[in-house]
Amino acid sequence: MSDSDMSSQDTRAPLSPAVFHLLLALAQQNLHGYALMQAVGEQSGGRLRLRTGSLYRHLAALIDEGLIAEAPRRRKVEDPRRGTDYRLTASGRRVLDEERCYLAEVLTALESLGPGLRKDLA
Amino acid sequence: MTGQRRTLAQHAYRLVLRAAYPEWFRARFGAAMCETFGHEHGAARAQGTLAVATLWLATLAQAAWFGTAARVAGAAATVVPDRTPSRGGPSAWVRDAWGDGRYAVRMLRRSPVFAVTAIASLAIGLGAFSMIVAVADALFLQAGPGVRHGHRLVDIARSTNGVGDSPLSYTMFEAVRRQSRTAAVAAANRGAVPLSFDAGHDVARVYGRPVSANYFDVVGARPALGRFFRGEEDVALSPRPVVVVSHAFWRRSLRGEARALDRPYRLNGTLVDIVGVAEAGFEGTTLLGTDVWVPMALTGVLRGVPLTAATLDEQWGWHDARGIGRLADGVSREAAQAELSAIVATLRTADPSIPASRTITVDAGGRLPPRARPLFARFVALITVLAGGLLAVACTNVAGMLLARASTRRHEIAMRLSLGASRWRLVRQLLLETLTLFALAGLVAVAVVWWLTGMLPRLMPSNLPIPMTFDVIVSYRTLLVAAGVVTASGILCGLAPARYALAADLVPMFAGRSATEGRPRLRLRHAMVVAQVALSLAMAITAGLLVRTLHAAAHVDLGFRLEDVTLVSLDTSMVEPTAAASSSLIGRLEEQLRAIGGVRAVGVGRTVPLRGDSSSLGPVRTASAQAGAPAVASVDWDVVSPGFFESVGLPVLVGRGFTGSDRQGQPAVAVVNETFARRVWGEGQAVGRQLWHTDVETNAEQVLTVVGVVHDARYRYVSEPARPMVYRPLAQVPQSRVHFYLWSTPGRQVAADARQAIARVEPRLPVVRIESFEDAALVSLLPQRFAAWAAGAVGGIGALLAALGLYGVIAFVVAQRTREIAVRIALGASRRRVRAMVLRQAARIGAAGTAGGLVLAWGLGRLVQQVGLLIGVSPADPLTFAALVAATAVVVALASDVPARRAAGTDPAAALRAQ
Repeated sequence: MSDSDMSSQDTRAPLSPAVFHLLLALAQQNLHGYALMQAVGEQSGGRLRLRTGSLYRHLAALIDEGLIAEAPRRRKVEDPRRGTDYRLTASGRRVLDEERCYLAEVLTALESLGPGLRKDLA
Repeated sequence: MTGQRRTLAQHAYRLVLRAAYPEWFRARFGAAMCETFGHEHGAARAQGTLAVATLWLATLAQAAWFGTAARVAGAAATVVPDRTPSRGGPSAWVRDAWGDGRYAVRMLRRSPVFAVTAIASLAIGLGAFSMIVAVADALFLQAGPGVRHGHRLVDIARSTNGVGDSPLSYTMFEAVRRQSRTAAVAAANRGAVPLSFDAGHDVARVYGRPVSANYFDVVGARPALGRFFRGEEDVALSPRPVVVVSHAFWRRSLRGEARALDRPYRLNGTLVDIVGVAEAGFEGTTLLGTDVWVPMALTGVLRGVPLTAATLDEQWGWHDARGIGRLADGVSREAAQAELSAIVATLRTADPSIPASRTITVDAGGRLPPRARPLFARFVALITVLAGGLLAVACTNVAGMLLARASTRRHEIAMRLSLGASRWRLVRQLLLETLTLFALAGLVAVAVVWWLTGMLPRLMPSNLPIPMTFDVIVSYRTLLVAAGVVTASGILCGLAPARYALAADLVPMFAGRSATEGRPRLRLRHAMVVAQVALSLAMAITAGLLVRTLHAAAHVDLGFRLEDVTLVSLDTSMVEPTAAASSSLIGRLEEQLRAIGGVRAVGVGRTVPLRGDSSSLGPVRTASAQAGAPAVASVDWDVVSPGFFESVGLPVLVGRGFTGSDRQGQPAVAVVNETFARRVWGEGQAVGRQLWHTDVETNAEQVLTVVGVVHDARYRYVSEPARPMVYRPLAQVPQSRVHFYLWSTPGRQVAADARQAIARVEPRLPVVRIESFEDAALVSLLPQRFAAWAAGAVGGIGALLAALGLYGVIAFVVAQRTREIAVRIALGASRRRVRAMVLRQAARIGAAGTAGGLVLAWGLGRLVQQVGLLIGVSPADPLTFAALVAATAVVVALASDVPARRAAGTDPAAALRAQ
């Protein structure tokens, strides 16, 4: 994967799995780096595993695209080591919504294949 | 508070970040990434070591990849970082160096042909050099596979007044084994004994090594299967002796089956049990391989000799056993020497039959026997010089290429200088580029050495008299030396181009070219090619001299007749323990062997010539010298039968050889060789003179009457001129380990008949070895063969590199002078003249290189001669020199012909337009 992939192509539907899960996790609540990493792992059922390096590579690209941003710090929280929290921006929500529509279309197309094939696919 | 402190892993990760990611990225995410990694690492630790290792691997890989991506992305978005010196302490320096290093890699990737050529030629030079270092390391510093803490092992031998390297006696070994507190002492045969191994279906020749029961403990070997010897198995007779086999033998002959240990085998006809298999690779502490280890005390049993306490000591002597000691913690070799000497002194006091001169010597341990070490060291030094020469050729070659490249970068460098870059910074960058090149070549070289060392066992000559195990393991020492050589040669080669890139003025550089600017650089390039031609020629001549040596050695006058002589080695003490009975047995054997049809003469001797062996009976002085006067310097001895001189073709020049009447009870007689006679009595008459001989065993002095002078013969090595030699009659100095020389009619194979004849005389007496005298002597030429091969390879590759270098320089000169050549052609110069002009220039370089090469070759030849590798060839052999000078001329002509043709083919109109 070349470094140009880090930018706009990733943010148009269909999203890359990593970007999709990152946006999805942040749509539920603001999270710091490690929590985000865990959330992606849980959402994907352990199929997608981000390391620190790949996580921040995506975060850097998504911040540059304006899809996510740093959330204001909650200093009073019990763990002072947590570092920066990230939140989904308005355009981030929009991209996620586009992805939802796209996935819905894909699902509809799949449904139209009838129960037999659905069973095969399952 | 502890929660805020960084863990070790986080510190490490920070270093990774600093190394891999650009500053802007770290400023934005560095702290957060460190935190996240801390959590990730904590989670991985909870899962175990494997998870942590996986995490680090993934992290490093990602850092390398994403960090570079971030750098490229950042560089694309911002201004190209300034290459002028930045201030700000060591971290800034490291950052600059890192940047320079990456720049260097980019520059190399931009000119792949140059990079590949340079790396290939450097890798050859560095590879050859590292290979020699690896071999030297394996020979002198490594203890061999499976041996643990080899640096604490010592060689222990019996000596006479502190000099010598003789087998330990059983009494001596037992005394030091029991009493020593400074070292754990074991015993092992230095040589391997050929044995027959019967696995039920077929009989194989194997090499066995008698060892004491504690041998494996002392050297630190471990069993792969089963066990090693128990203490009692080395002293008591057992109806079923036990043996241990090597891993290679187990795999090869026993198909690597664990069940193989449950079956009985016959070793030299005796039923034995295999109780263990040594770990893979372990074949003892020396270079001589081993298939089967036999307990010392049972070797007689294997030969069908009943073991008694009386024969035990004799067998040990026969078996060539030396002590191997493992020094206790913190004990020096000197301390162990002092303690063992004291033990032997006590032994002498207790037993008056032990001569007062008997001592024990503790030498540093090693795979080579102590006496052979200086010889090997000289040989390795010579090969190192050859490999160093190849490396020098490769380096000058690459330096020449770098110099040519420096010229193409004048603009870049001038631009930077004018923009205020410091010269130091530019030198550093150019040096770093060269070092990058050398480092890459070094990696290739180490990989090649790794591969070659794996191949080495297969490259061993197959006709060695004994199996060799020479596993070279590339150690950290080799890697350190290789790294040092890479760095040193890289800096040396990088300095010249760096200096020339920087020395010139800015103005002519910007002008693009100048008539004077190129001269010094070109002169340097010329000098480099001259050096290459000189070095390669010197190497090629050295190789030539060695090849001539091999040729001459086949015709050198050894003094002996090697052809049609069969050597039969026996040890009569195995059946006749007393000297008198032994002598009579030898006499009967001689008689029977002489009766074989086609055998012209039979002789008996104690030392096999040309194997590097020598034996000493003690010092001699002439009768005229006062008692206690210095002995005639180092005399070699042999003890021979009356038929010896005839059987090996050694003519008696004056007086007589030995006869049957030279027996015990008759006057003690000796025969000397020409060198002895000349050195002691000059041109005077030798026969009838007397010699005073101090017996090394009894320390008693004895008068010998010289009865004859024989022709000189080369006894120790083919390369060594004859040494003073004294022969004594076998009947007066009884021996039990003897070699029979059977001179037969040409083409007559006597081995089978000899075996039968021996069996007729004494069926219990096994033949130790039967071989032709030629085969036995052949081994002594191995160093020459190897050196010729090495020098030939170095000379050949060197010549190829020199030809490439010459081609490069001439092509470069032609390219530089295209305009001039075009003008000449346009003004009517014939193409033939242009071609001749270019060839003349090449010839000048070639002639200078040849002159240098001749001087160098002469020096190198002297060195080779001093190492003792030249036989019957002068170090200034005119034929070799002339042939290789002619070959150099051909190479120079071939290398310069292509550019010369190109110059002659210049189209003046096109060339001038292009300029």
